[in-house]
Amino acid sequence: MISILAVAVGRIVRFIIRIFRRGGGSAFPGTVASSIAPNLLSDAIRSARKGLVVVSGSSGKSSTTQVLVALLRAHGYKVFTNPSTANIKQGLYAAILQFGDYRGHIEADFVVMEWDEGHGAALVESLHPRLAVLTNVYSDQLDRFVDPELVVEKLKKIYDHSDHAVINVDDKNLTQFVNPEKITGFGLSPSIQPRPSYAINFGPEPTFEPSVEVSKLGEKSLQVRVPERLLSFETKADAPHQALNLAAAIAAVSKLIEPDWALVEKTVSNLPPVFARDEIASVRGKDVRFLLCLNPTSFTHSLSEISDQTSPLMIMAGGDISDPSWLWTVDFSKLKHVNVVGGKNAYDLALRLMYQDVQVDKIILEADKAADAFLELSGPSPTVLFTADAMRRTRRYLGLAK
Amino acid sequence: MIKLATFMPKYFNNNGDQGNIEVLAKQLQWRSVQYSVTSSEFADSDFLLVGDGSRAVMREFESELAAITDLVAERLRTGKATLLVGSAHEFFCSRLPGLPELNEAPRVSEHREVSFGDLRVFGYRNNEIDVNFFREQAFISTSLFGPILAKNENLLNIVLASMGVTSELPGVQQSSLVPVLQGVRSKALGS
Repeated sequence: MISILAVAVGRIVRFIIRIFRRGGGSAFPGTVASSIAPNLLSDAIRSARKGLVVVSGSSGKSSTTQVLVALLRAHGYKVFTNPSTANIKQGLYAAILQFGDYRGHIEADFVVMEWDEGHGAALVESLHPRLAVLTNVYSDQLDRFVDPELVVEKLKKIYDHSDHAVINVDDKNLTQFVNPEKITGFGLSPSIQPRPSYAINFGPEPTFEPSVEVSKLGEKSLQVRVPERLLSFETKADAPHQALNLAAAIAAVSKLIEPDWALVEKTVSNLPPVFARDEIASVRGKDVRFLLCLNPTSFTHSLSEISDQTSPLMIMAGGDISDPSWLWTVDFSKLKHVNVVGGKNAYDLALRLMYQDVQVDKIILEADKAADAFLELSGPSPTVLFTADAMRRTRRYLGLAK
Repeated sequence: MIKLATFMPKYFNNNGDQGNIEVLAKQLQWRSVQYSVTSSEFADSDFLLVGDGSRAVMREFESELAAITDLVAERLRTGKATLLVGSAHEFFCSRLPGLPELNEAPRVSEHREVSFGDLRVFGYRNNEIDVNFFREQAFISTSLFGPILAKNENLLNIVLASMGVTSELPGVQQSSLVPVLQGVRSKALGS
């Protein structure tokens, strides 16, 4: 009864919010529902026949979750998942409101959830995942997590309370705390360079042979070795950190089911891009390239993907950055000119750019006005790099939100 | 030739603290002042930066930090241009007489303006200590992370002047930076 009330009230709140903010309002309805029925999430997850799978880590959660969900669905399983923007506690409840029935029950074989590291660690004891996929530990979001060692503690807690774990064996921040009997490893072939820059760790480096290994990276293609087989994929996600996300999802699916490998190759090659993960979308008659930059690693990668002649170019630093100091760890020096610098932290980004002698034409804090100014510009390669908050606001304003 | 020194920049760069070296280098370049940057010769440097390191970094390089304690103490005594940030601030404050004694305080993670005498400086604070800024002439020790010299023109000018740089910034750069700095400050402090 209390669950029915929580779902009803949460849905009404969500409906009202979305009248005013199209594409918005995922967190607050979840807060309302969880305060009315704290067990709503755990009850929903327990109703899944084959259990809970969680994906957590500093980076790569959304992409890994997306591929894993697609692979399970391609094999005929019903999968309940949370939108990538709803990976904190309130968002997980909101996902139940959005996709569950009037009691908050879900019709699914698997629940596959992307978990924010901090919120996941708080939830894991009560939810006890069947499988945890742990991607990596970066020196990231220090304003929130203070030190990478505290992120390691949170991921270890998720690991400790899960039956089994899929682990990035290239990242010793993770391998230092795992039991080899309890993990399935994934990683990059030693020949692949450059390697991602995981959080600095001077401790021992346990050696684990990965069960799933990215063996070769090509131009819009990659190969992944699984036991007794080499898989080939056509994909734009061909950078080392992106290939690792794919390997993580494949390692997870191989632990959960008996995969049809031909179907795995076909499914991955046909996956649509996650919004703004180097996606080209038509906006007001222009083909605009969108690249999401969540942290220094993905910012650096996105910059490597664009030409120094890119024009017009807008870079946005949104309100999701509490302390924009980390922008100073990104090397923007390949750019000569940025037409629009946008987002709530636009001035901090512009200051960084100016100290690298990058010319900045306009600084506009509001995402809608920045988007309008950018779309008025002509040029052969309209491109937007933005952080998550700026992405959400821009996407909503331009009518690209679902 | 002005010599800018930075201690183990690869490791002591949490929150972009090494940006302070970039700021000084660019300010000197804009003024056509010759400079060099070193991460090995600290003794006769005009400026020394020891940035913030993670817990792992502080454990690993504790002896290397201890090895420059006398050198840092001499810079403190003479007020020579120095910037200690975050964990380096805490490390040297716990070892050097003349630096403030730090006590535990509730964690604060926010942009904050601090006062030291007539000087007002802002930056991002994210720690559990009670003293966030100390200055003796151009010797600065602070818990305010990131490119503090980029954001605080007054602090930057103190450091530049101590290195003998008194020339004005060319008008092109000055006119570009002023509104941006105002915007950074307004956003950070909500004014």
